[in-house]
Parts: sequence; structure tokens; C-alpha cells
Amino acid sequence: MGMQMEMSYVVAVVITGLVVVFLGLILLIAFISIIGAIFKKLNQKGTVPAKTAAPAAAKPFPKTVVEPAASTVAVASASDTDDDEIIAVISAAVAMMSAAEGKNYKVRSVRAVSSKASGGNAWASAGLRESTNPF
Amino acid sequence: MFEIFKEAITELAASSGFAAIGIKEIIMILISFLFMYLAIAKNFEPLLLLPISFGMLLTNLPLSGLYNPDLFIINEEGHIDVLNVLTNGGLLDLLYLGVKLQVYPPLIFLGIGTMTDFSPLIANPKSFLLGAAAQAGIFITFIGAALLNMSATEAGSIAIIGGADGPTAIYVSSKLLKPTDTIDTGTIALAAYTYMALVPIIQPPIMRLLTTKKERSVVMGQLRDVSKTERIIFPISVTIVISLLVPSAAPLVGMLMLGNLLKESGVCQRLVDTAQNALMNIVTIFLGVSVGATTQADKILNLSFAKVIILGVIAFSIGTAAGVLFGKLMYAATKGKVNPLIGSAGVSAVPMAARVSQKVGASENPTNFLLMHAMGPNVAGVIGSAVAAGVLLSII
Repeated sequence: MGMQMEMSYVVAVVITGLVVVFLGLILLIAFISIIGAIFKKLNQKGTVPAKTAAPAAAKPFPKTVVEPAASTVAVASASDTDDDEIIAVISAAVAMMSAAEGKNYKVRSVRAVSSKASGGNAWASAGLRESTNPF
Repeated sequence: MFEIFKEAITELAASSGFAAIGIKEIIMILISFLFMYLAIAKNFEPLLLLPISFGMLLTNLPLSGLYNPDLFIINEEGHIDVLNVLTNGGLLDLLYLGVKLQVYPPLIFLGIGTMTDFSPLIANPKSFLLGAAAQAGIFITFIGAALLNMSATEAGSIAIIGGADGPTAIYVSSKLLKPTDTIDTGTIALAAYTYMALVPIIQPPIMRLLTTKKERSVVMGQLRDVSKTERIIFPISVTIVISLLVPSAAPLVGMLMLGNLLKESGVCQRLVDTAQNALMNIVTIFLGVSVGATTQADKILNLSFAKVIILGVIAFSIGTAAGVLFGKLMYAATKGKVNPLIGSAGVSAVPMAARVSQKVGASENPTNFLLMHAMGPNVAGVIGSAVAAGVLLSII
């Protein structure tokens, strides 16, 4: 067994350690925030239309919840105005799936669900769910 | 003729490992089987635990001469006699030089850097605070180890297990531990990787205990987009700030950030490919098998090993708790915009700890995706552990 340490030394190590770790990371926060703020400003000046277009384009992706066995398919669209074309595409996809599974599905309702929780994009949510599933 | 044959056989038997093997070695070989089982059947960090456990098997087979700890004794000039290791060392001695001279961990960090996306942290720099808070596990465990009468070098090596970062733990312990200490780098590595594999079991009860249902259900706003230029500036600025503040953390942080810069620059695809595949895999094998070789019977079958196991889990738990508690502080400060569950990811253990945050959050609200928010503190934890390692190395 090695030499025993003085308690004052131990406390000094602990305090120094915590202070330096926090100090270092707070410095980084300041640094990154400043750089972030600069870039935010640069972006606002330069690419306003491109920035606002991106989220708008992401919105119309609808979220489908298909419950097997039951014949109800709830299709949720982020936009309030139901897009007939998208419903048609979803119905076609559901029909394909039902043919492959040998089950019958029918699109009964299309309703909007809050997209806040899932981050807005149904595909992104599905991807996230899949990648976080294994355990 | 029969006499000569009998004599030769007796001689062979006497010089074989069977004659030299003792009960301690047999126990150690059985322990190596246990870790092999955990790696293969239970999938406990198999990429590292399997080479480590096999190194443990090799080193405890008597007379193999693969690893000779007496070659690594520090001489009067204050360093190991590398020439002696090169001329008289066995295979694992040569490979262990990479651990002893602190070459492997930074190279692993290079590979990790090429695989890490710091965008969640750049988008929400406050995550750094959670990555710092979770390092409390390291320092509070240091107190615990001191209370158990361990030497400063032993206490520092055990405490760093709380950083939940294998390469960092190996880096610190191989630099700190002296031959007179009762534990060795292999012990620390075994404990660190075992507990990292157990993160999904250790963390959730602590997270649930310290948070309310309301806090766990907080849905966090989407992170902003981070531009390529910001992602390129990040590794450069982190390297400068951290290396100036804690120079002894520079090898780890520097290589981590070099890997990240190679990735983010987008112009070094071939180097990125090598760093994250071939190089990282080669180093992982060398690191694993040679660290495993340090687990010789007299270093494991003693009371200190039990202390390492107990203090290791305490370090992990305190780190988790400190992260969650700091998360609660941020929850209060932001009036409920931060989900405290992401705090536990500050212990590093990338990406397992972030996935645990995601899983515990999703068990309250299945449509709540905390993963990217938790990745911020998670990668901040890697930087935080490296800084903590630098602090331990410079003051002990």
C-alpha cells in the first residue's frame, strides 16, 4: 500500500480539479458562443431566403401511423390544409404494404398531430426511433 | 534407450508450464474466461474486453515470457529503459511500450475525433457545463480512494474511471501508477470498460431517482443548424483553449480535435478513412492485448482490486448524479426548457450515455427525442474527462 495522503492535499486536488474543468469548459462556452453569434449575424445578412425556405420545405412531410390488424390508418399532416396528393401517395404506400402482408388496410382519417415533439420531420423521427431502439 | 527417453520426458515436464502453474494463475485464467464470456455472450465492449481478457490469459500462462513487468521499472533517471525492453522484452512487452509511453490512447482519440459530430455541442454550447459537472464523479471518488488509504497515484488512477472514457483512464493510470502501487493499468482498464458496458444498467435508476416525471417529460426545442465553417473552427479553438489552460491534456485533446478537423474539413477523406478504421483497429488490438497482459495474479488477487471495483462504480454513479443534478439546475434556470436527463450523458461513454438519456426520456414520452440534445453533453464529457485527466496528471 502506498503512502497515505494528507486530507488537506486531497481537498486541494478536488477543488483545483473541479475549478479548472469548469473554467476550461466555460472558456470554451464563451468562445463558441461568440463565434456562433458572429455566424448568426453573417447568415442573417447573407442567406435569409435560403434559411427560411428550408424549414418550410421540411414541414409538409406527413407522419403515418399504421396500426396492424385494425383497419385504421391515421395520417397526420403537419400542415392544416390536407394535401390530396400526399394522401394519395400514402394510400398507395399503405395498399402496397397491405398486399405484401396479406392484410387489409384502409385510410380512414387524416389528422394533424403536433410535430413539436418529434422535431418536425416524420422521417427524421422514424430514423431516430430506429437508431435508438436496439436496447 | 528407455532411460534417455524417460529422462527427456521428465525434463520436459519439469520445464513445462504445467509444473510452474500455481493456484493464483489458475484463478486468473478463470477470471479471464469470465471477461471473455462477458465480451462474447453479453456483448460488453467486446472490441476491447476480448483482447484485454485474452492478454490476461496469455500473461498468466507461466513461463511464456510474453510480458515482463520488471522491464518497466523506472530507473534512476526517472524513466523506463526502453532499449532494455526492446532487446530483452517479449512480444507483449514491445506492444506495451505504446501504453507506457502514452502513444495508443491519443491515437484512439484521433479515430474517435473522426467519428464525432460536435454540432449538437456547437449549437448548444451550454452543454459544456453538463460535461463539466459530470466530472465531479472523478474528483469525489478521489476523496473516497484517499479515505481508503490509497496512495495519490492509485487514487488518481481509480478516480479517472469516473470519466467513463477508456483511453483516458489508460492514459492517466499508465502515466501515474508506479511499480510499487498495488494496482496496475490493466486493473483500471478492466474496471473502466466493464462499467462503460454497464452504463445502461447503472444510470437509469439514478436518473429516475433524482428527477420528477415532469422534468423527464420536458421536450427540448430543435437545435439550430451549424455551418461548416463553425464546425471547422471548433476543433482548432478547443485545441488552443484547452492546451493553453491544461497543457498535460494536449495529447488527448489535440489528437481528438485533429481527427475531427480531418473529418470536418472534408478534404482528407483518405486520412479519415484510415484513422477511423485501419489505424484505430490496429491500435485497439495492441492496446487491448498489452493492457490485459498487465493483469498478473499478484496485481489482481489482492484487496486493492476490490477497492477499484467498488470505487469505480461509485465514480460512475456520482458522475451520473452530478450531471443530472446540474441538469436540474439548468432546468430551473431556463424555466423548464432543459430536460435534466441529458445531464447524465456528461460522463462521456459516447454514445452509450446519450442513448440512455434518450431511452429514459422516451419511456416518459415516446415522441420525445433527447438523443441529439444528449450528444452535446456527451461529447463535452469527452473533452471534460481529458481536461480532468490533464489536471490529475499535473497536480499528482
